[in-house]
Amino acid sequence: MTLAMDTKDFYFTYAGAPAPTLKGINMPIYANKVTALIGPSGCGKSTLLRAWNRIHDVYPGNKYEGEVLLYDEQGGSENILNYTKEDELIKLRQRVGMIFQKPTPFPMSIYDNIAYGLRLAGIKNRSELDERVEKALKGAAIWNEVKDRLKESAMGLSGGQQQRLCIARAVALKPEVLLFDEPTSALDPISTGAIEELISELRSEVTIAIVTHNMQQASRISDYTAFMYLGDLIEFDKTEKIFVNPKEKLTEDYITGRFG
Amino acid sequence: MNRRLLINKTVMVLATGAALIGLAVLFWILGVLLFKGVSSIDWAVLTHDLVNKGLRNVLIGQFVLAGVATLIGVPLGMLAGIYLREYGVNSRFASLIRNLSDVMMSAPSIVIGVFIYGLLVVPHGSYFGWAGAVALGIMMIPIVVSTTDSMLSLVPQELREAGIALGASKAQVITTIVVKAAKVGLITGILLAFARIVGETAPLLFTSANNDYFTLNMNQQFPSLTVSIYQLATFPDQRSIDLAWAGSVILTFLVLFINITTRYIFRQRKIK
Amino acid sequence: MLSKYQEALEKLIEEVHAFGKLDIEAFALVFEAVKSNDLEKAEEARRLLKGNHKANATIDMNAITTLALFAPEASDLRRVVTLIKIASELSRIGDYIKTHAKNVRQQIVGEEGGLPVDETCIGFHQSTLRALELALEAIVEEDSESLDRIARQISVEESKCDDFVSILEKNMIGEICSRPEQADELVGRLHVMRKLERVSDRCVNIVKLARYALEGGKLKL
Repeated sequence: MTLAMDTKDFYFTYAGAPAPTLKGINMPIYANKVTALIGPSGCGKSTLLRAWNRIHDVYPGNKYEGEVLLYDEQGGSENILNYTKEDELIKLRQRVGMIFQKPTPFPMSIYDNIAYGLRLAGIKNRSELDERVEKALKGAAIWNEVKDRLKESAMGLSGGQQQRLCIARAVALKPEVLLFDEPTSALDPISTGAIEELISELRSEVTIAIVTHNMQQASRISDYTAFMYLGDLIEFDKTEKIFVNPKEKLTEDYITGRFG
Repeated sequence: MNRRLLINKTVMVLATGAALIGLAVLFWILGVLLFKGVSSIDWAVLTHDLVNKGLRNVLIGQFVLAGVATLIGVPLGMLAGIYLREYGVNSRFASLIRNLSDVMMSAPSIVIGVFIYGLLVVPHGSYFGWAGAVALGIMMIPIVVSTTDSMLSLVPQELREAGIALGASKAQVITTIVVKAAKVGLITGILLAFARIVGETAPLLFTSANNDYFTLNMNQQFPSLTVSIYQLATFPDQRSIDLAWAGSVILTFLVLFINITTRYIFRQRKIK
Repeated sequence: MLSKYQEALEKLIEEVHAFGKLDIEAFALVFEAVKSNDLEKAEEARRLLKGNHKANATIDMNAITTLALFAPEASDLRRVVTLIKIASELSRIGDYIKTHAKNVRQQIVGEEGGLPVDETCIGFHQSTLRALELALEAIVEEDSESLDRIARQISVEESKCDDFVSILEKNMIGEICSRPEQADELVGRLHVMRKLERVSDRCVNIVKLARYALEGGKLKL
C-alpha cells in the first residue's frame, strides 16, 4: 500500500482563534484509493481537507504545526507546510486539486474553463490544448454533452454538469491527489449518482479524498474512512470495518445516528 | 380586530398617497420641461454653435468633458475598488479609505470646483478644458470606488478559491476571473457614474467655464451644456431663455435615457 | 446502480450458487452410492459437505457487509436478505444430505443388502435431485415468467417426493412387521427418509424466496 500523503501530528489554528481547530491529526492517504472524512458539523473535516492544498493561505493569519507530507512517484516526500513562496504553493495546487461544494464554473466558455489551468501551467500550443481539453471532458463523463458547444458559456450548464465541468477542469492538470469538499450536497440525486460513479472511476488515475456529511455516500464509494469529532481523529480504518464493526463507541454512535 | 384593519388601511393609503405625490412631482417636472423645451428645439439648435444661438458645440463639449473625466476617474476608481475588496478586505486602512470615499461622494460639487480652480486654473492663468475634466473625474472616483467594491463583493468567494486551487496567483484570479464575473455590474457602475457627472455644473463654473465657439482644444475655455443653461437662463431675451429650456430638456432626457437603459440591461443580464 | 454495489451483489449470488452446487454434487454422489452400493461415493459426499456451516457463515458476513456499505432498498434489499435465507436453507439441506450419506454408508457396511433399491427409492432420489436443480436455477433467475415455470415444476417434484415417501413408509412398516427384531434399525432408516423428504420442501422454500425477491408482496414460507 503506497502512501500519497501522510499527515503527522498536525495542529491547525484559525487566525484569531484561541485554540487549535485540529488537534494532533495523524492520518495516511493511500495512493489510488478513495478516503472519506466523516463527522458531525464543526468536527474539522473540511478544515483538514483544505489544509492539504494550503488553500487556507488565501486568508492570512492561520497557524500550522506538524507535518503534511506529499509523496512523489519516486517515493520521496516533502512537507507542504514548509512552502512559503507563491510559486511553491502554485506548484502544490497543480499536484493537489480541489473541487468545492458549490459548482464554480468560470464566466467564460466551456473550453476556456478547462484550458484555464493548462494555460496557467504554460501550455500554449493550440492542438495540445484541444487534446487535453477533450481528454479531460471525456474523463469527467461530460464530453458527449458538451462537445458541440465548447465555445458557449459554461454558465448555461445544469448544476450537475457544472460540477462535472469543475472536475474536468481539475483533472486536466493531471494532479496526483484530488480533494472533494462535499461535492454533491448541492445536487439532485441523479447528478449525485453520476458524480459518485465518476469518483469511483477516477480512482485508477488519481488519489481521492472526500469530505461528506452523507454517511451512505462514504460507505458506498470509499475504501478508507476517517471519523472526526471536535477536531480529533477518532478512528481511521477500512470502510468495511468502520461501517460493520467500528472500534470506538463514538464512531458507532455517529454511524447509527445517535448524534450529529 | 376592526381597529387593526383600520390602521392597516390608513397606513396603506398614506404610503400610496406619498408615492403618488412623489411621482406626480417627477412627472410635473418632466412635463414642464417638455412643454417649454420641445417647442424650442429645431434643426437650427442642433447645427449651430452657441455664438449663433445653437447648442451644437456645448452638447459635444459636455460629452467630451465627461468622456475625459471618465478616462481619469474610472481607472483610479476601479483600481481603488479592487484594492478595497480584494486586497484589503479586513484591514483598518481599507475601512478608512472606504469611509473617506463615501464622505467624498457627498462633497459639495462647488467645493471641488474651487479646489481645482486653486490647484490648476490659477497656475495656468486662465480657464481651460483639462481643469474641468479633472474636476468631473474627481467627482466620479468615489462613485466608481463604491460600485466596484459592491459589485466585486457580489462575486462568490468560492470562485476565487477555485481559481487559486488551479494554481492561479491572486492577481491572475482578480483579472481573469473576478473582474470578468463582475463585468456587467462594473460597466453599469461606470455608466451610472457617467450619467451623474454629465449633468454637473458647479465643478465646471470656474474651471473650464464656457465657450461660445466650437472647439476641441482643451487648453482653453471649453464649451459646456450645463454652464450654458446657467448662463442662458440669466439673459433677458426670450431666445436665450428658450435655448435654456431646450438645453434642459435635452440634458434631462439624455441622462434619463442613460439611466434607464443601464438599469434595464443590468436587470436583463441578472435574470439570465 | 453503483457499479461497486453491482459487483458486491453479483459476488454474493455467485457464492450462494456455488454453495448450492455443493449440495447437488453431494446428493448426486449419494444417489450413485445407493444405486451401486458404492461406499467410496458416500464417503466423498460427506467430505464435500464437511465445511458447509463455515461456508454459510462466510456468505452471511459478506451479505452483512454489503448491507452495511450500500444500504440497498426495495428489490435490492429483498435480494440480499433472501440470499441470506436461501443460504440458510441450503445449509440445512446439506445437513440432511450428510445424515443420509452416513446412513447409506452404515447400510452398505452392515449385513443387510441396504435399502431396497426399487423403483420407488430411485424415483424418490431422482425427484429430490430434480428439485435441487430447479432451486439452484431459481437462485440466479431474473425473469418472472421463468420463475413461474420453475415454481410449477418444483411443486410437482415435491408432491412426487411426498408420494414416494408414503410408499416407502408403507414398505418399511411391512418390513418391520416381518422382521421385528430389527425394528430399531428400520425405524431409524424411516427417520432418515423423512428427513430426506424435507430436502424438497426446503427447495420449494428457496423458490418462494427467489420469487419474493423478484416480485415483492408478502413473504410466506
